Amino acid sequence: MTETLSVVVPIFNEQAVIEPLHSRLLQVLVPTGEVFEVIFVNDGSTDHSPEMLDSICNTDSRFKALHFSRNFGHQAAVTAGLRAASGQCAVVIDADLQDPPELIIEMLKKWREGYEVVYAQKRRRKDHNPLLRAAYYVYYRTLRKLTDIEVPLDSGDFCLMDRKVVDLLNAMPERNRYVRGLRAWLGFNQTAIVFDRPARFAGETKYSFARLIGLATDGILSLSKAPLRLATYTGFIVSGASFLLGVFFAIQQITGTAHAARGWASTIVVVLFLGGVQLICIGVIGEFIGRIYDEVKQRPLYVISRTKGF
Amino acid sequence: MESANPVLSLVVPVFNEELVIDQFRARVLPALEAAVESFEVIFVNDGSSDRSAEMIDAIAAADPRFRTAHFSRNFGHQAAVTAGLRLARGQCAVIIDADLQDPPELISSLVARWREGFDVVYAKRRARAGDGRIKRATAFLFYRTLAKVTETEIPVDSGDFCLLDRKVIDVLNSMPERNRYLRGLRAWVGFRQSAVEFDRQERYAGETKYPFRKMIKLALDGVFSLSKAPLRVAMYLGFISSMASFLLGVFFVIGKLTGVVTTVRGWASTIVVVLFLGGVQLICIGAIGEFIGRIYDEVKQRPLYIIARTSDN
Repeated sequence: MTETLSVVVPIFNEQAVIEPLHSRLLQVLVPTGEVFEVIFVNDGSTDHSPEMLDSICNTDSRFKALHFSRNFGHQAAVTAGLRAASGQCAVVIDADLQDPPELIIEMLKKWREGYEVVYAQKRRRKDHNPLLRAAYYVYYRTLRKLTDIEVPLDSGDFCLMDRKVVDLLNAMPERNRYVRGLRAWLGFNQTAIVFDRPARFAGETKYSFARLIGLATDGILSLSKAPLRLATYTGFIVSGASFLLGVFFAIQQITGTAHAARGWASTIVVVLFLGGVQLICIGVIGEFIGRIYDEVKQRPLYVISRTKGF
Repeated sequence: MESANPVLSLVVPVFNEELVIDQFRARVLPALEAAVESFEVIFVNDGSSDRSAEMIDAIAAADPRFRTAHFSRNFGHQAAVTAGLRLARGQCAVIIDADLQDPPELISSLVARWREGFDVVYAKRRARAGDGRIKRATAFLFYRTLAKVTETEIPVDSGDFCLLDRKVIDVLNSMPERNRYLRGLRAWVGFRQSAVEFDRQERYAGETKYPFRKMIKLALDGVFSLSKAPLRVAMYLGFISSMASFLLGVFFVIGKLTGVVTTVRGWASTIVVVLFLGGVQLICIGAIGEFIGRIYDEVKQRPLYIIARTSDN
């Protein structure tokens, strides 16, 4: 028989939280009366996590574990979990209990109301210093401005997805995955549940600053071509400036008000003009590169949510 | 007729090795018989122009445990290894060079580690006897740089000489990318890895098949197939150059106002403009590079992740 709900939990060196996570998940999931499965994806942990997961899976067949051959990263783990999920809907949740499992109940309710994607939206980040919080704020707002699709602000990977959405995500072959961006890209009926993100239960945060930067870059680059257009824009500005400067210098020369060193005016105009044209040409190449990237990502051209009369 | 699936497949790329083949066979047979109960030896003739082809065919005709495959022309060492792994039927495969620089006697230690449960056992050189000092220094530098630059950790001083479990062979065979750098891919796939140390011997006879030019190409394959760092160089240089132009601009303005800095008229503005433009161009090239790196990621079609095992079995 197939499950109603699959819970996907990426695990990377989480030995300190696996036991509390296990009991919290059971506390939440059993009373719902739904048939569920929990899929742990061990992303190459080097501590005791693998054995702990295996022993949980051995005693309870509702718990399953996948073990990667090495560390492939959080996004790959989420992808593997979703591919293994067999439920009519799937929840992606972090192991560190910063995503409260209790929220799953509310997510299920929204899903029954007909929403295909229910994502959790953080209200406040208690554990972060103001600098990091400001960085988050700026990043999500920039992402929204730059990308052509709307990635919900302050939402992480914690979400519930209907089988339809999971199947579509699984069919997308691209490698630099940014799951929360792809989720937004797919569309469907989406809704948010707001919650307070608590501090980590135990252990260390797995997203170091460098990793956050990497994830942020993935977010922007996988959804937007804006960085490639930078060259075109600055190119036009610079060549425009060189043109205006040229006119300005010519007028100065004619009216006899020029007082720059001899040869300076022509040098600066030529340098600016050439630089600007080079930038425009780089921009054109960039435009094509962006299109090639679009093609090789092999995303579907469109997503049909339902049909009538077929 | 041998049983369909031997325990071990020995993959031997052969390129103009007529001087060492007989010696190789004489040394490899007792080593293999001591290591495993059943085996096959796969000679991949990478378009040899000497008598290597007839010699390995004669060996294969006399002993069914030897098999040969001949390329239509020289496709390179990495292609020969790939072909050998695709043809291998064993539960594990060992890749070894025919020139006897990799001692066949080490195979039994590799197999012993494999039986302990390791999926990849690679041989690690302790010293490179017979190599010139320059070559040794470059090899040292190369592996250290590679380890720094790539996100995947390639074991230092390890070559292609290694044992791979069937799981790993299947993963490698399913990776379609063209610029193959086997020892990098081997590190990339993960699984339980272990090293066996040994002293690399001098060539038994004949010339080295990896002249300096080929070493450079292999090194570049290693860097480019595992790292996007070279693409980021433009971005970093661009930021440095624009920052410098900005700071210089501020410096010149202050110098002008206070009358401290005196240069040839027009020089300050020219240099600031040139630096700034160059910097912005580099940043833009860096952005393009970032996308090209991603495109390369996509077209390589590597798996997104590799599942070593599941709780179901």
